[in-house]
Amino acid sequence: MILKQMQDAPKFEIHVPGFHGSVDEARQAQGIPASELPPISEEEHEIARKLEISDEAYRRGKLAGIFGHQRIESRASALGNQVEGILAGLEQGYRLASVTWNSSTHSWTLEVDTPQGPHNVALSGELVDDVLDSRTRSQAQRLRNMVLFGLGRRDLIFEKHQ
Amino acid sequence: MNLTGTTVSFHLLPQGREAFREIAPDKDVLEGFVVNENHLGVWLSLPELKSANEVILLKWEQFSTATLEYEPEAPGERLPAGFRR
Repeated sequence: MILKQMQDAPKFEIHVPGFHGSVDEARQAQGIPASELPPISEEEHEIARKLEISDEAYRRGKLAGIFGHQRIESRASALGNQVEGILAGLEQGYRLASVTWNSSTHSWTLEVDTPQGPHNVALSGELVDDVLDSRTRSQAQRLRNMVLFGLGRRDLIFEKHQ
Repeated sequence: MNLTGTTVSFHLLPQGREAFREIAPDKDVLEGFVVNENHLGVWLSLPELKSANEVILLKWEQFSTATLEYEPEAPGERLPAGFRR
């Protein structure tokens, strides 16, 4: 089982800083028995006290954040897998190094090793949501085009038109 | 419809033809790759631009309409739903 998990683990790094619980995840956390809530540190207990909320309410909020974190990590993995597929279609020397979620700008940053050195490719959260949620060829093509553009490979975007 | 990430043909109005006269002379239809769109218009990468990193703004008021290729797609495979015995 552990071996299978290792085989399935992405070859790229995933960075999802912070906690990002949604309303749905807060609702989900409300349904969890108190005995299964995550523990809190002394520092977190102090924060809960200052916020004038109970430890249990704080732990439910923390769990909602963990659910949100897991959801975004799973999307990062799905995005990275698609990008790896795009890079596999290019000549050798392109490799996805990392996928990072930027919550403040609702965007993703891909770090790609290229024959010319590392490149960062920024993608809007909206575009990535369209790609991951629709699972259609046309949306996958939009992702491919934006990755190619970000890597300075405009030639491959226009090649069918030339 | 979100155009970012697609190649689109824009039908230029006279003010658009004037603005793009030097880059794409005598063109009524400008084909470009949409890199971004905002309240000003669409930011395009054009084969006519020398640098691959250069993009140019086509303002909303500079074109009358836009066309792009659309391919009907078969429904994707659905994840199984329901209970398992």
